[in-house]
Amino acid sequence: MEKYDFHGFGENQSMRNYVASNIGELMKTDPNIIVLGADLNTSLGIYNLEGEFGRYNEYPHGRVINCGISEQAMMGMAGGLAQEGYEPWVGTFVLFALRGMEPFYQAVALPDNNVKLWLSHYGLGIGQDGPTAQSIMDKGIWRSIPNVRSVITPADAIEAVSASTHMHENDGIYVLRLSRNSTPLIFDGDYNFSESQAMQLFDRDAGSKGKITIISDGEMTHQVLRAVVPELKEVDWTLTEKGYGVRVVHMPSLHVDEKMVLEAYDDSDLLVTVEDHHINGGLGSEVAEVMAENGCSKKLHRIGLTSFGESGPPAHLYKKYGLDAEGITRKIEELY
Amino acid sequence: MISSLDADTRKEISKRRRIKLWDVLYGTGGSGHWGGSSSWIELSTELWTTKDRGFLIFDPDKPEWEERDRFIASEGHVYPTQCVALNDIGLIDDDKLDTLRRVDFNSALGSSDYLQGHPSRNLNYGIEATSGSLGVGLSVATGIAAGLKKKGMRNRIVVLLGDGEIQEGIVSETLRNIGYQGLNNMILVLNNNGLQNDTYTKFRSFDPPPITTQLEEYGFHVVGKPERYEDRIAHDGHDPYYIHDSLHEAADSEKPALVVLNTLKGYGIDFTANSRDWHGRGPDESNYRSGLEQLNK
Repeated sequence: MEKYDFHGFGENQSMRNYVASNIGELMKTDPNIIVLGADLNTSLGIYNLEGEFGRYNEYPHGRVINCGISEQAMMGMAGGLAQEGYEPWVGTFVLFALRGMEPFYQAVALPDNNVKLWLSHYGLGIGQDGPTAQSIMDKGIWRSIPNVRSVITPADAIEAVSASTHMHENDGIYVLRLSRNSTPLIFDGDYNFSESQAMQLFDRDAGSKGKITIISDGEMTHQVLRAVVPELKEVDWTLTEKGYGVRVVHMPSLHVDEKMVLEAYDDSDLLVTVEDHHINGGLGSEVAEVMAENGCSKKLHRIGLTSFGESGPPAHLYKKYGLDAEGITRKIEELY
Repeated sequence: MISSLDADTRKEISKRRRIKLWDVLYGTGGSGHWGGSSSWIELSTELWTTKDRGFLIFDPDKPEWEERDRFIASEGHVYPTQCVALNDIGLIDDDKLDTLRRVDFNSALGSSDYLQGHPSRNLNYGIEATSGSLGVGLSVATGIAAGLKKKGMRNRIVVLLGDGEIQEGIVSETLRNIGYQGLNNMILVLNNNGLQNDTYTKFRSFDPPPITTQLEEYGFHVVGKPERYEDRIAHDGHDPYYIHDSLHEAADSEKPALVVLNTLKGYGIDFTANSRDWHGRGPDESNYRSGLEQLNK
């Protein structure tokens, strides 16, 4: 497990904007990259790429294909383009990508076509648009499809950009899940995303109450850090101040290297996973599977959703569903 | 009109292929889809007439040749006819044809090294796209067409669609895209046999399928017209002259094209023709011989 010392939050940045800009940079160096969108081009930042690289329907040299509101057709077309040697990047919302799941399964995954999905708006974090637009189950789907190399839920714009470059540099199918919200930077510009790698962001053994390892991804890593790191002064009493020894491990990609889980488990008295996703199928399930298969006997608790979400500002939803720093702290105290 | 090989020769080829198809499906233990597969044998004879002739241009010795025409059976369940046709012209050998729907214990897990129940992409056997869920093959073909056009290539993409299949939402999405993206290298062939899995198409949707007006609005060139079984004078989809002329008219068009072939499901055997019982099965011991006798006549 790599160690990356967390030294405070940086400025708020939009993952979506940065990833779109990075794809634009990659397009300049690799003419095989084609971008497909289904009428969420303004949300994903594809709109700017249209201007720079042209629309296919206007002339065949255009490198952005506007499929219209047609996710099923878009997935199949991405498979066909990959078969002709192109590297299609499919950009839409997570939930709508699932409309194209069966064509994805058959026309992308089964023939192992080199398609990259770049999806935004997952979980409660999308906020006001409410449960009809909140994807809380997709990690469980992606990670059970053969040939999907990795499902990545980055914590900030720097990690998201680095992950997108990794997706380009490596052949195969990747799913990148981006938050709707601008999130504070955690990593510095020299950070390099590494597939299946877990990052230890914080580890302090000050406590007398035993050792807890908290594993999280995406926006939840921010909430965990708020609950744990006293220097942030985001909550009145952090877990650290309450006498717990705490390690924070950010696991952005599924499948995670099982050695990482075992390493995190090794000296802990309790493992907790936190994700903006249903507790079944995602990060918590993957950690549980690794623990069970390796005969780990200590307790794991999965924090996440067990019901559908609802509509409201993201911070309010995280509070109501126990996914903010206070909620995470409260849950861990109950458990321990 | 047909010049390179006359209609009688083509009828002989189709007859031979239909017998082979009956045999192959019998060999799978009566599984497969005889009805739909049988309804496009004559089209297969036009597409792949002999090793050197036929509507589709390809190089048998170079399966990955970029300039080859592409064929995709989007109604993937009927692709055994493609396997039989490619066997007939020598591209798939007899041993390989006999792997259809049978496990090859020596292949890797998840392998498409032998002939799966529905098409699994494998250029060595001329299978361009993994398909089978209805409409998916069409969407892949559309991506292929967009890619080829992008490269400035002039090869054609021929897609076989079923009249039941076009009820799928993905087909609506993709047809609109073909028009909007101006993919005039695509020729779609509608296998209008009036039957789908459960029953006659008229008991599930509109019969004939209302597709031609919409496609003309999308900028397609439409050849032929879907007809209800009851209204037909003949089944033009089994007429080698008609198939040949229609495909060439489509190829000459500057637009994406739809060719409608009015066909008969289970063509060639009286007890399978236009029968709802013969969608998802092949012959078994009780009917193999009697069917074969009819096909041999």
